[in-house]
Amino acid sequence: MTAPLALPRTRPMDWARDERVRRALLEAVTVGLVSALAIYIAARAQAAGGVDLGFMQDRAGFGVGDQFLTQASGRDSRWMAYLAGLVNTLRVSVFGIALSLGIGLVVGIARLSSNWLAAKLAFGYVEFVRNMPLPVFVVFCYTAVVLRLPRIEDSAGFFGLAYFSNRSVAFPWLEFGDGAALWGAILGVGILAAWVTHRILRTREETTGRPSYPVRTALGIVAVAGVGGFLLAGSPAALDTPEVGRFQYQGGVQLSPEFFGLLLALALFNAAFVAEIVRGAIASVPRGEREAAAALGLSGWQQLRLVVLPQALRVMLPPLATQAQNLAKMSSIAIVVAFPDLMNVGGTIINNSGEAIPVFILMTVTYFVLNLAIALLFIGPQWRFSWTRGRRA
Amino acid sequence: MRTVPITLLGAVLVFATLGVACSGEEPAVEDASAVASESAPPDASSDTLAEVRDRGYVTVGVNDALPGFGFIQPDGGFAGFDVEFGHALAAAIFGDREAVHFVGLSAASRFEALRVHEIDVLFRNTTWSISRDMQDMTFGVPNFYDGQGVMVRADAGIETLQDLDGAVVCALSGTTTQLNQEDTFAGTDVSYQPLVFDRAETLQEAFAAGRCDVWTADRSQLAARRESFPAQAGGPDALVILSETLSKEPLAPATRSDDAAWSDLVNWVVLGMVAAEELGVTSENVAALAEDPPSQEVARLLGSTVDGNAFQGHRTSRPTSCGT
Repeated sequence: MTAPLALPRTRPMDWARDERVRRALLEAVTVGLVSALAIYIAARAQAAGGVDLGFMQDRAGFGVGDQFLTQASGRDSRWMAYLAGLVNTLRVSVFGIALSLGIGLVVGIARLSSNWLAAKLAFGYVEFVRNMPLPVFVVFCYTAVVLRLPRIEDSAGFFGLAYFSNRSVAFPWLEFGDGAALWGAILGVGILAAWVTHRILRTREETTGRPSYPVRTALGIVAVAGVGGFLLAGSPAALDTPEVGRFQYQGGVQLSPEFFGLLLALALFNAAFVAEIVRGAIASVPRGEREAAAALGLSGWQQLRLVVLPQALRVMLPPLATQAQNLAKMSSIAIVVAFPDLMNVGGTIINNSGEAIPVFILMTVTYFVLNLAIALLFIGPQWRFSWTRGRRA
Repeated sequence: MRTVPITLLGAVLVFATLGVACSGEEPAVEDASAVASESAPPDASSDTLAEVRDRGYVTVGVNDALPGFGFIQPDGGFAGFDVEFGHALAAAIFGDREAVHFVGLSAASRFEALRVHEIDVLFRNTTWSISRDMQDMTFGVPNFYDGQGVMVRADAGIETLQDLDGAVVCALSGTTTQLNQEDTFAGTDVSYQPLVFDRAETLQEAFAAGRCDVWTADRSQLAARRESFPAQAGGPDALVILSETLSKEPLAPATRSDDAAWSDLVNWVVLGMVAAEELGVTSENVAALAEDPPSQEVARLLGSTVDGNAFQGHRTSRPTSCGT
């Protein structure tokens, strides 16, 4: 026999040892299971009477206490109440994400600070919050902080312009009259002009090296457009200041204590997690980068802003997106402090209509879309980073 | 500890009854009475009164955790408004208010307990509703007319619902409370700001802090909440429950629908209690009043001097002339 000794023996089921076949099989099984589950759920929903949302057009029969932009009353359809709840969820999520990012960034940087007190305070805050369940924290922020504000009879005022009590926080707002559109248009043109001027001046400064003050010039243009447009349009806006009423403030813009309590809790709670993400991301930037920046003579703040943070931002964006989504989902706890968010309003609709499954499906889809939108908001900058990096490489 | 054997007994009885109804076989009944020899009569299908007399006491399903209506005292005994009706029923049947056994029931288990003969009658702050009445139970005369009420701070200067324009109205979720208040205010100019909590503790905290002007719930619950309002927030006297009512919640005793005579007995015990209350007849003065009735109505209630046979003969005969 002349066959080489090393010729592999053919064994039964040898194809099963092929890496490609195994992968394909695994993928086929996964796809099959997922589709089976999807079909099963769809079939169950169909069997449960389908998802007929006709009842959402009926009279709601309940009012939504705290509304922003929406005007849903008990006489409107359930869709209107649902919309009011959705706007409330969006409102608390947007402000909560912004606040938690800001607080978290500061606390995260403070944890790495060489200042002993700042580092220990930040550490204490993060550990205190991270080891507490969210519902306890939310109820604490509401009952022990917000409800302890003065009663409406003894409202704390701010020069007669703004008031706060445990009824609401009321501050002045602009009341627009005729000509507001003209003012808005002039302001818009001014902002556009300022942006173009800013770009031109900055390019000139970068190319010629002569100081051209792009930011100051742009701000000046906006100010001139704002004030000039206001006078030109015939003073179309007046200040609407709140007044103390019997049960509520009259006029101005009012934010409810439920909103504040929930916002405070969500922002502080998530800021602790954001701080850890920031700390980890900054720690992941090689030490040499900062030392090199220091060798160039940059100040501590400049080192952070120009060298460390831009690199850390790439690392922290994906976990920050997750944390922002977490905050939006956590806002569904709002009912423990009586804030009428999507979940709270949806629960009332279920109670009144008895249509639990359709409403839950509706809420699931709504939260899903909301979280996708948040993910996209954070993915945008990530694309920019990878694109920039690719161009530089 | 009483509940377990009684439950078993009830279950056996139901199976026995079903056995008779389906096949008409005698042995099933005999088995049942052999197992339940202590108290079960041979035919338990519809003569609850005979069953109770043989047993020597009446079993009443009550609430065991609602102060005011039915709750367990530190000494282990039951007390409360509904519990008193159980004593009254025992007094009507046996002339002894203690010839009664109470069974503490949850909201979920109360109807099944009645169905399986674990209890003879249900006095457990149960709202008389059409869906319940359509099942195999029947409701008697309501002994308590509950309804959604509103509670406000005594110093708030709120007298009627009309004073609530712009007020913050706090309620618990998971009830029809919101629907009722919207229905009440729908046709009026009164606008209000609803605030829906999921826990009574948080609601009470918000109310005590002055966040809410109005606390709305069933009036009986409001009364209980008012009684236990924390002293540092002013105690019960700091609160008033307005006389206006937003919805009807008639609380009534429930019996099995297969025994009309027993249902009548329960009804007339309730009506008799109401009449006695109106006429000032109490357990202390009942003997004296029966000797020397001050009015024809008291005489009729106590069956003393009225011609004919009302209230005469056996004590358990139904007071058919009462109130007519």
